[in-house]
Amino acid sequence: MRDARTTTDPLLNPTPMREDVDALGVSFRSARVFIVDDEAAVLDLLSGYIEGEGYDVRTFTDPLQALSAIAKYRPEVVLADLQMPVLPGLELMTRAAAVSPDSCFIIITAFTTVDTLIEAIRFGVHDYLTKPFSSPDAVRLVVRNAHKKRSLETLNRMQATVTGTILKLSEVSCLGDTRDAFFSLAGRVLSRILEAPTVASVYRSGKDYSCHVSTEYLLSNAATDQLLAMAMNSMGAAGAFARCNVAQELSREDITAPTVHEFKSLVPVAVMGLEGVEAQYVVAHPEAGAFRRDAVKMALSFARSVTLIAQRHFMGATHEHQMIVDLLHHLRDGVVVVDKDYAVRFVNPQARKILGVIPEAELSVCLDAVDSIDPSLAGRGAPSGFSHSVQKQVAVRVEGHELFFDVQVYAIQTPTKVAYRVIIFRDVTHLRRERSRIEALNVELKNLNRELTDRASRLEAVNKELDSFAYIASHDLQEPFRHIEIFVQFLERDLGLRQSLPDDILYLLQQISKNVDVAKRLLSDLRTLSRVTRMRNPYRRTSMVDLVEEVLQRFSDTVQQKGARVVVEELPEVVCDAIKMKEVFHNLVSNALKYNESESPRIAISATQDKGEVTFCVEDNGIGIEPEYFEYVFQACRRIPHKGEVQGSGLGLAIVRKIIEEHGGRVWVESEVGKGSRFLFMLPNRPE
Amino acid sequence: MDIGKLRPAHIMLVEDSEGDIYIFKRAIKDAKILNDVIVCRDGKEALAYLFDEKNRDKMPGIIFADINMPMVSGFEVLKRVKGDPRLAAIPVVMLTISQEEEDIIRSYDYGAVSFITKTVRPENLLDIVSASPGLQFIVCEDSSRQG
Repeated sequence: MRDARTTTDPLLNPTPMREDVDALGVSFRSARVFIVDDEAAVLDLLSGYIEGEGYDVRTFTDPLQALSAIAKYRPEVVLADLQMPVLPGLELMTRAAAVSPDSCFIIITAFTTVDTLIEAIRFGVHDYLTKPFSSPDAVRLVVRNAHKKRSLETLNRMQATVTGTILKLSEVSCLGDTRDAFFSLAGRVLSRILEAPTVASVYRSGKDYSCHVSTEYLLSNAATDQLLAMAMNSMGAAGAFARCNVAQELSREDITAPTVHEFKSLVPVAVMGLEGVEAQYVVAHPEAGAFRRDAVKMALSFARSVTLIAQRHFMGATHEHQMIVDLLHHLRDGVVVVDKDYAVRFVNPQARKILGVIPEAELSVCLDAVDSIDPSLAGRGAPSGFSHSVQKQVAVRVEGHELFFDVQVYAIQTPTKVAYRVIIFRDVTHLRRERSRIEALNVELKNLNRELTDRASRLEAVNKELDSFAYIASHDLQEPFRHIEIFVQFLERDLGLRQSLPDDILYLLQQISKNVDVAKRLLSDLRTLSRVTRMRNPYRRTSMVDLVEEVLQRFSDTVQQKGARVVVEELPEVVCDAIKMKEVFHNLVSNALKYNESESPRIAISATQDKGEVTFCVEDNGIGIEPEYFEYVFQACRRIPHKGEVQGSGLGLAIVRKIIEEHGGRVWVESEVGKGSRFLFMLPNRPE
Repeated sequence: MDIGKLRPAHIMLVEDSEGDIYIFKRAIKDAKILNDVIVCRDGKEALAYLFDEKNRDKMPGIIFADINMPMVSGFEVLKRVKGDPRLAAIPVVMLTISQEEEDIIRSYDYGAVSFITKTVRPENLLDIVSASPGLQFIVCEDSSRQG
């Protein structure tokens, strides 16, 4: 058995198997031939004929006695007289077939008729001998044939069982959880092949052994110990006996047989793994010479097959193991496996390097941390075998360089409760460097952002300054122009009647007045626009009906004068800057009246609401606007060239747009030349 | 009202703008009003004049004060005049280029009789002047107003 350990490839160098049946030292059972005849002389004659054939021959004159012996010993061949007073041959056979179906029957008859033979064959008789017997050879031949037939039949049946079992075993692994099932099935089949009611099995599992006795008898402790000791001895693991688990399985409840104290027939069968015996069976029978040679042969051949299957399983496992080891060797992370006693079981090259630089104290901290966790709590819900882990980052200085490692310690529970710790080192120096680079970039980005914000606010300040400059300038410039205007009036008055003035002086005076007018209007425009930008009034919920009525009041004279009709529909309340909103309606109504040459001018003010948005509409039947000017009209200081003498600042709609946009809305125009215009503006819903 | 008992009133103008001073004087002149015009270039000067005992006999019959002046504003002048029992009876007319509602309200709150927005038509001034009660103006009979 020891030599098995030295083989490097068990498939190329098969483990020597004890297929040599005789080497087992087992005494084999001869084929049993029972002869039943009420004439003792016939029995003597027949047993005399087949003596020397190697059979275990027994003779019976009483057919009933013969029947109970058949039931007990199940002889391979039975010869029975057809004419017996107590129990005729055919009836004996019928009853014997019920208790020993495998026995092969031969009838002995003095009167051979075709009918008798046909009837006998119907009963399942294999052959017949006629009295008086023609020759001893003929008798021997008949018996030999019967025996051969019986052996072949049994062999075939067993072969089928064995083949089926081997197929099944190929699918069941002899590793891990299914290991016991694998070896237990093999043991059951062995006991069937050998037709033995008792089999003791010992399987190796790691360093321990699992022992099992399956029997149809109630065994004494001494008998059990005898079997297991033999199995252990055969395994070369006698010392392990005390540590193994003994399980006795009684396959029958109605135990009639007496307690067996000693087994007289024992066949040891081994299943070899890669490193020696993986399973050892001892098939036992209380009687000496209980096993037939061919059955033992088949049992050994079966064990050989099981061995091959087991080895294939182990080989597969070995390949897998090697693959994992290779993988761990090439891993960039360092991996160390420590067992429950802190003995190092595995170190990969990366870990070896890292262990050289990491202080031992740091590792102890990690190991202690992982051990301080209660596995029963931590392991809940974790994948099988995986319990819990602890992570720590360790900084190390090596040759002036700072290195960073993530150290992760996993506690692993194997099915047999042996705890391992797997320590994984990951060099994160590169990541750290990358991170600090990103942090530096972030700081830079923040600075840039701040600079941008500064610039934006400076720009805003400059804008504000410009706005207020425009306001102040437009305000203060009014004075000088007013003065110039009045001074020109005085000058005209002082110069006397206009008619008497020289043409060029008159022209110059007119030009001064005209230019002052232009300047004043520009200043006024500028002032209004800058006021809209500068002023911020609180947003309040405002009744637009009231607001519009107030605006229309300002135009009452013009409305009357032009004979215009103004319709104000129901308008909602809106949260807005009411002062500016007045300006909006003022400008829109003013335009609607101003650019209207209809004989009966009409203005309609309405509103529609949709999903919190309100759209107001100021509609007129005025001169209208050409589509190309729809956008143009809202630009500052733009007026559509118009032949009529309509006076305007050219700023009204620009102010409207500015206010509406300030409210988060938008304004647009729909119009048809000669028919009228619809100025619409949308205000979004806004909380108070 | 017995006009004969009244002294021809002085007109006080508190105004920092040279142009407006000229326009005011010109308007008075064009209206043939011959009353003396006391011109103060700012509020401080006006107050100095009004509270000087030496000028007790030459107190104005009406004061025109520009609101927007450096140092002492027209409002300050108005407040001080209305706050002094001896001067409170003098009507004060506020002048301004602004049309701010607030300025108008403040003017009347402090006791101004009128509020004039400076326009291109200085004749408005004269309407105010002539409408002021208890004032006597010296008007050249032979000249008619021109405008």
